[in-house]
Amino acid sequence: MTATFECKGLSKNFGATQALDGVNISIAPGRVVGLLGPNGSGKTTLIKLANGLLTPSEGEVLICGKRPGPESKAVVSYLPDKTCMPLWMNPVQLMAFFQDFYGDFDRQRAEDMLQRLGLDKKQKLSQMSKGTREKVQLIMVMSRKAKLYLLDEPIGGVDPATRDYILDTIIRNYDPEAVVIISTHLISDVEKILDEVLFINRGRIMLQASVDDIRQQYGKSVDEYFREVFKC
Amino acid sequence: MDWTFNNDMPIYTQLVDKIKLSIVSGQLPPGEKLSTVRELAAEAKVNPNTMQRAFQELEREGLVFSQRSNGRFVTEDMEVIMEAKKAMAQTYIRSFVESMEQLGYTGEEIISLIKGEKEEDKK
Amino acid sequence: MLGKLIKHEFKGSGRTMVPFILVCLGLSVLAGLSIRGMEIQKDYGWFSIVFGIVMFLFVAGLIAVCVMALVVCIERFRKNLLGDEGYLMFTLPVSVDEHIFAKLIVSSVWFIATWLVCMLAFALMFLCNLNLIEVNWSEISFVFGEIWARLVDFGLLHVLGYFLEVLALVFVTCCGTCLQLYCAMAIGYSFSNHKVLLSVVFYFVISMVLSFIQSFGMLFLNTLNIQPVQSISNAGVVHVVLLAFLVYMLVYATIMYIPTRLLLKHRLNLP
Repeated sequence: MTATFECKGLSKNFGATQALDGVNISIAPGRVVGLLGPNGSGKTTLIKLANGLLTPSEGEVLICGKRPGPESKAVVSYLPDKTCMPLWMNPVQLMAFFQDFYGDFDRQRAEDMLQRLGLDKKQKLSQMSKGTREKVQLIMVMSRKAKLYLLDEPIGGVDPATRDYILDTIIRNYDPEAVVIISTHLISDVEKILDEVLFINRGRIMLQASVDDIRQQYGKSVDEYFREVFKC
Repeated sequence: MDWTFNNDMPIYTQLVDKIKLSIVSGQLPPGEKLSTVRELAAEAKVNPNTMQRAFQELEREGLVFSQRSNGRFVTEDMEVIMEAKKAMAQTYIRSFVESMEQLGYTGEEIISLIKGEKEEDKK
Repeated sequence: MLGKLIKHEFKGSGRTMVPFILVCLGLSVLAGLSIRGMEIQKDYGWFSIVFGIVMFLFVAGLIAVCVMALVVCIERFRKNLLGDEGYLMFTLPVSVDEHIFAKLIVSSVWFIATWLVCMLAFALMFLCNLNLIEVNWSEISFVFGEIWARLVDFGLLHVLGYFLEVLALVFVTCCGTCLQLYCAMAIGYSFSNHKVLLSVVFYFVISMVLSFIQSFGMLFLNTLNIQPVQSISNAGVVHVVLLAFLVYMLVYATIMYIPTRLLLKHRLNLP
C-alpha cells in the first residue's frame, strides 16, 4: 500500500539557513498525526513543501505516491496558519468557489457546520473578527473529503469552546482512508485525538511514535514528554 | 461515562478500564448494544483508532462481542463478567494494600480499620 | 480549470472595474446633456459652472478608468497570487500556467474594455448632444455607402485581415505589458524584504534592458540594408509590417512569461 504522505531525504534551505535537514517520514492511510515542535523547528516549512508552495532543496515529498502538483492538490486539504480567503467574499461565495475547484467539497457539510457555529452566511469576511474568519476557513477545509488534511496551527487563535468543536469536527469527519496532520504546540489539547506524533526540532525529525507507546514507555503524557525533550 | 484521562497511562487502556467498569457495574447490562466506535470516540473526544483498539482488547477478554452487521454487544456470559469484576477488585485491593503497607499498617490492622470505617458509615 | 479561474478572476476584478465603467458612461451622458444645455441656455451664469464641473468629472472619469485597469492588473496579481490569498490560490488543483494565463487574459480584456469604454463614452456624449430631428439621415447613409464602396475597391479580405491583425496585436501587446509587470513582481516578491521597491526597480531594469536590445536590434537591421521586395503590393507590405510587429510582441511576451512562470513555480515566497 502506498503511504498517503511520504518524505524522502527532504531538505530545504533558505540561503544559509537550513530549515529542514534530511527528513524521512511515512504515514499510512487512516492516521491522525501530530506534528509537534518548538517555534521555528520547520513545521510550517514541511507543510508548505507538501503543498508545493515551496520547492525542496533536496529529496522529495510524495502525496499518495505523487509529487506536489495539480493532481496532488486535488486530494490535499490545507489550512494555512493565516487567513488566506479573499476578504471581500462571504461564506456563500466561498462555498461556490470551493465547489468549483474541488470535486470533493461537500456543500451540505459546510452549511451544517456554519449553522452549528452560528455564523452569518451573508457576512463578508472583512467584517468578521479574526477568530470568526479562522472558523470559516476551517469549515471550508474540513468540508472536503480529502485524502490528506494538512492543518497548520488549527487551534492556535480560537477560544476553548471552538477549540473543542474543531477537535470534535476532526474526529467526526474521520475517514479510515484519510490522513490528518496537525501542526501545533498546544499538545495537551490535541493529544487525545492523535494516533501518532512526530517530534521535529531544528529541521530534523527526532521521533515518530504512537501516543500510547509514549505513554506506556515513559509513563507520562506526550505533552509532559515533549516538555522534557525540548527543555530549555 | 466520565471521559477524563490520566497522563501516565496509555489512553486505550484507560478506555478499556472505563468501559469494563460500566459493564461490571451493570451500567451497561449484559447483551446491551454498544454505540459505534465513531460515536463513542466523538463522545470521549479520542481518536477512533484508539477506541477501536480498546474494543479489540475488550473482545479479546470476551467482555464484548461483535456481530458482523449488527454491531457490538456486551457479553451475556455472566461468568466472564463476574470474573472481570473480581479481577478489577483484586487490582484495587492490591494497590490499596500496597499503599497501606507503605503507611506502616499490617494486614490485621488494615482489616480492622476497614471494619471501623464501615461502622462509621452505618451511623 | 482555466475557464473557472477566468470566471472567478472576472468576479474578483469586476468588483472594482464595473462600477468605474458605469460611472464613466453615466458621466458621458451627463456631459452630453450639459453641452446641449449650454447651447440652449442663453445667459451662461451658473450653468457654466455646472458645465465645467461635469466636463472635468467626465475627463477625470475616463482617466480614472484607464488607471484603474492598470491598478487592477497589478493588484490582482500582487494580492491574489503573491499575498496571503496566494495560500488559497496556489493550493488549488491548477497549474502555474493556468494561473498566469487567467490573470493575463482577464487583465487584457479589461485594458481593451477600458479603451472601448472611452470610445463609447465619447460616442454617448455626442449622441446625447445630437438634435435627432436635424440629422440628415440620407447624407449619413451616403457617407457610409461611400466608405463601404472604397473598402470593396481596396479588397474586403485585406481589410478583414488588417482588422484581425490589429486586434491580435492589441491583445498581445496588452499581454506583453501585463507580463512585464508580472515578471517584475515575481522577481521583487521572491526576495524576503523590500518586495514592492524591488518590483518597481526590476520593472525599470527590464524596460532599460529591453530598450537597449531594441536599439541594438534596430542598428543591426539597418546594417542588413533590406530592400523592399518589388513583388509585394502596397497592401501586402502593411500585412508584413503588422505581422512583424505581432511576432515581435509575441517574442517579448514569451520572454516575460518564462521567468514569471519559473519564479512562481520554484521561488514562490509567500508572506
